[in-house]
Amino acid sequence: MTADAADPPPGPAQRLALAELLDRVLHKGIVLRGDLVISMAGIDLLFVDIKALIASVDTAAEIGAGPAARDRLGLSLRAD
Amino acid sequence: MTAQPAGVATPAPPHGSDGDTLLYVYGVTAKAQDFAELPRIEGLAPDYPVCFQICDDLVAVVSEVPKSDYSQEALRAKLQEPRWAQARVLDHHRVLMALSEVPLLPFKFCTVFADARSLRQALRRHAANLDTTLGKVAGAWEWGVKVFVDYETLGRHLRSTDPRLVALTQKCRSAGPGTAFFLKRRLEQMARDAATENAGRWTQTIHATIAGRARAAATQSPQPRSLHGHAADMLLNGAYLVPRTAELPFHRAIEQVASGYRDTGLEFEVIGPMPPYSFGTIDADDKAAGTDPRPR
Repeated sequence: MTADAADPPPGPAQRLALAELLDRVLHKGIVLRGDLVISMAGIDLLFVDIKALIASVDTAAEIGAGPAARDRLGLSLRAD
Repeated sequence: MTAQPAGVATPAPPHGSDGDTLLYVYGVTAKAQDFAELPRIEGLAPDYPVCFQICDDLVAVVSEVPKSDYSQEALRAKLQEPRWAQARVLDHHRVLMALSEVPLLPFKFCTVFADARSLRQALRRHAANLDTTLGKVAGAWEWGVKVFVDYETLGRHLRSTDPRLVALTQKCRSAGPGTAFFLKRRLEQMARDAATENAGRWTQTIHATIAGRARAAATQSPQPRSLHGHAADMLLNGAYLVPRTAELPFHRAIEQVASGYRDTGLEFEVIGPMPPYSFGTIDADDKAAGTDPRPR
């Protein structure tokens, strides 16, 4: 998509979904520790700043862009 | 990476065993799946599509990744680049979503093995545990439900519905100016306490009701406003494992619960479906699990 200064920031629902996803992918999931695992063994992903990831401009603008972006996230959002 | 003629299912990795790559694991699934029918799924790194490593009854969903980005040292630096990190997190999720029709245990982001042999060794050590957990999530997806509260609206709601607050409000109106001032202060304090108390109690009720429609449920600490970006405060941060066949009653239950809190300042957000990230609770140490470290 075109990088336009007028691009709206991601809406609250998109931001929420992104925060949800980043939080889960970074902090959940099966963890097998030990000598066999290379990267996970020495890296605590807690140091990855989710806020910085959310603020990452390009993707945020893309996610704010509608159906295509929603497909990318693979999430449906429903505000009841 | 070492050659693994027997372990690689379709599609075959395009690159040979050149020693410049590591093996990234997205998750594991059960063997009884027809992976040959799947379209090509792009992996984390360009030119290395997703492939499948069979290990007894388990199948690991993997792709090769360049050592230059995914060795421990390199990764530590790369993850400090927000755009790169965000894109890779979304890639990890995309790959898992592409396989959402099969029972799948997501691995934690950036689980990387040296090669297929060490991956299979680790899977064998944890096979029983992985198999049990896989059974728990089979046929179900994860949904997130968040409840927010606008305390101002909730305060107004309680002032017109809570008998004690209604009575005090009336007393305020009929009191002389001096007394009214103190009564008003008291009313504000009581309204705040009542809001906090009700919000806490409602959160428990809401979670219990929604959890009743799920196979499993978990709550996490509510996110701070700086993270969720919502104007209201987060009360409930719940994760629910919901069988595909039970999604409709699950959503109906949420709608019904939400409608019971209309005008109270509570807002509901439902996010999903997602791979069951929050329900694979294995956190195992090779040393603890592997009494027999010999490769089989």
